[in-house]
Amino acid sequence: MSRVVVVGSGPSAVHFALTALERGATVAMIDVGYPAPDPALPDVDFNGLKERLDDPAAYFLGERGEGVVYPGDAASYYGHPPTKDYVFRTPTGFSPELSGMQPVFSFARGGLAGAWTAGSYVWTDDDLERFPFDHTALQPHYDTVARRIGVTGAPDDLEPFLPLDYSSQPPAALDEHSSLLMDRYATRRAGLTGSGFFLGRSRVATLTQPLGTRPACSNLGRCLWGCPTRSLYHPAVTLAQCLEHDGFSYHPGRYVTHVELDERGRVTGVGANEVPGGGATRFEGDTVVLAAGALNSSKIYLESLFRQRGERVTLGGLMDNRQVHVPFLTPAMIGQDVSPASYQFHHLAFGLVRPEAREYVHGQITTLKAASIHPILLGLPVGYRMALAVLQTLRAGLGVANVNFHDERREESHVTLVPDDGPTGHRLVINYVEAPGSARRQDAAVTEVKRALRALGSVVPPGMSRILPMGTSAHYAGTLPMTHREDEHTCTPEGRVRGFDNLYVVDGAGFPFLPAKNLTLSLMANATRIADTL
Amino acid sequence: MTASVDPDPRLQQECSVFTRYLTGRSPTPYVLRTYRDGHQSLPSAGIQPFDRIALALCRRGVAGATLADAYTRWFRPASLVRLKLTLMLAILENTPPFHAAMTRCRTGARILLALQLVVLGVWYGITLVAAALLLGPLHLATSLGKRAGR
Repeated sequence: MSRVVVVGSGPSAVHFALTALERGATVAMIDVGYPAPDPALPDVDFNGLKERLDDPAAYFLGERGEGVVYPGDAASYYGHPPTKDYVFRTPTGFSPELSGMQPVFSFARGGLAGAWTAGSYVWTDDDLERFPFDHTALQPHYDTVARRIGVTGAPDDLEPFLPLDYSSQPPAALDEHSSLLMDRYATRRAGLTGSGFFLGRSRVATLTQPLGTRPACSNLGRCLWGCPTRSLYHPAVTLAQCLEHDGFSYHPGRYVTHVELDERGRVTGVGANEVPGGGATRFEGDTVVLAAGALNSSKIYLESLFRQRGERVTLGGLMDNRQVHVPFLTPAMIGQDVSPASYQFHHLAFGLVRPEAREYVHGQITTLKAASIHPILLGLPVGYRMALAVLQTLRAGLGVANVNFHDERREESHVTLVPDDGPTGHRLVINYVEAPGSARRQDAAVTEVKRALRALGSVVPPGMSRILPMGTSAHYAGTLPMTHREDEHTCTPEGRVRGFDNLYVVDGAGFPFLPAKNLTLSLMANATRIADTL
Repeated sequence: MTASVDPDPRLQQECSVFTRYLTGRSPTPYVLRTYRDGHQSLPSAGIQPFDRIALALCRRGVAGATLADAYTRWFRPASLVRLKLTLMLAILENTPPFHAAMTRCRTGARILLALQLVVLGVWYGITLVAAALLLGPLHLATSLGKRAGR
């Protein structure tokens, strides 16, 4: 392995690059790389920002008020604030054609991980059953990544499903609401586990102890708006580590459109357009690694095939995790105060084992602390002043269970290209078709989650659960799956794209199955594993 | 969301009423400017003649806003009044000196808090009935008028 071109700067890209650099390779990272804005007043907490910023409404609602959620907007209980706009910015002319899902794309430095909630979960042999390798192949790489980014964990009932066989940091102190739920779980444990419900601590990539230059979480309550201290991991941390290596170069402002091939079909580099501007550039390499996210990597692959063969291929097997938000109220918390200056994301995770459906449903529980309240008030069935009084009374007891479902490859969910007038001459077409019976299966699981929440002493208001549109989870995978089979448009277990000696896929496109548990830690571990095999 | 010129007097009136309705206090100049500028992002599609009547009622004072808010929540949830109130809420929850009071928790004995909610609920029910009696016929008349005018 000598000159490696890595496309993208998300979690897969930076961990592949760092491992490759540690093994002595020279790495050029090509990326559009829209940067994150500098964090405002990095030592100030959530409410302090409102007091100390000159224009707090611009920060929290956007310069043009684009962060206001109006009646009729299809918003979730927590969306992305204007400070995360850079994550979802797309180059001029990028306009995919969508059917059946509303995916989000990122051309940001750090990719979609700029908007993650830090959930970091090890996949077990059950999760990896359809992969061409098992947990033992990934385990050392989970450990490598956990040492790099810092992942919390503690022994609990989730350990059989969320193993702790990596170097972990202790979890953060629980907020009062989460603590109450854990206490209740302890008293009702036998019944709940007997019905397949297991509760424990979220494993998150948020530091509780300093790691390198990153401090432990100081409870500013700004997680959703972008952790200003990087206690909550962002791939920019690893990108900075890559930049310390002499063999590394980072080339932002380039939108890679295709890989370039010689007459023997061997990859010689990548072709890119400058952003902005559109001027064509190319980068040469002995090995090209696609890590631009499953959808963007698929587009690059499809475009490359078109240039090579003149045919527009369809890649089946597109996957994403369906998510359902289940809001709940814990009456025992009413009358207590809540500090917005606390870790804002989920403290608790749960697993729902459904043997009859042969599935494991994963969930995370976020209690309400720092938050925008107007999207919540919109949903209450009373006028705003009354809604405010209701929210102020119930606030300490409010929370949301985010229920995640696995997905599997189906040929009818696919990506392909159609001609257009854009800079590449093609537009990406994404078509997602839900599996037959999945709605019924999801309904049954959500019913069981609601039953478990009630057993924990919480009330689940009827009619307020929200099935999020497909694509919301941003866990895309499956279009170029790793397999032992010698099929076209697949990857070897080492991530090499079949038909090419030196083209690799290290992002979610290579996953042949999508477990319910968040994929980001496994993306990083798999990229590290592949870098280790080159 | 910063401004350079004085808000339209009607927007100023709305902003003043909505701020007092939601917080019991008068708006600051920053809130006034931000409310005016926020109208750039206000959805403008689907405004009906009834919306202008409800908005005119709001501009008359807090009592009018109370009735219009109660009515539109149930019978015209995407009305101009609701959109403007939503914008106002979003601004106030992020702006000193209002945000602390808006986003606070009511603390104390659960039974007392529950009683307060019951009283508020009863009051809201009365308000909703009054609003329906006042605004329902106007809503119906404007809807029929619009249909007849087609």
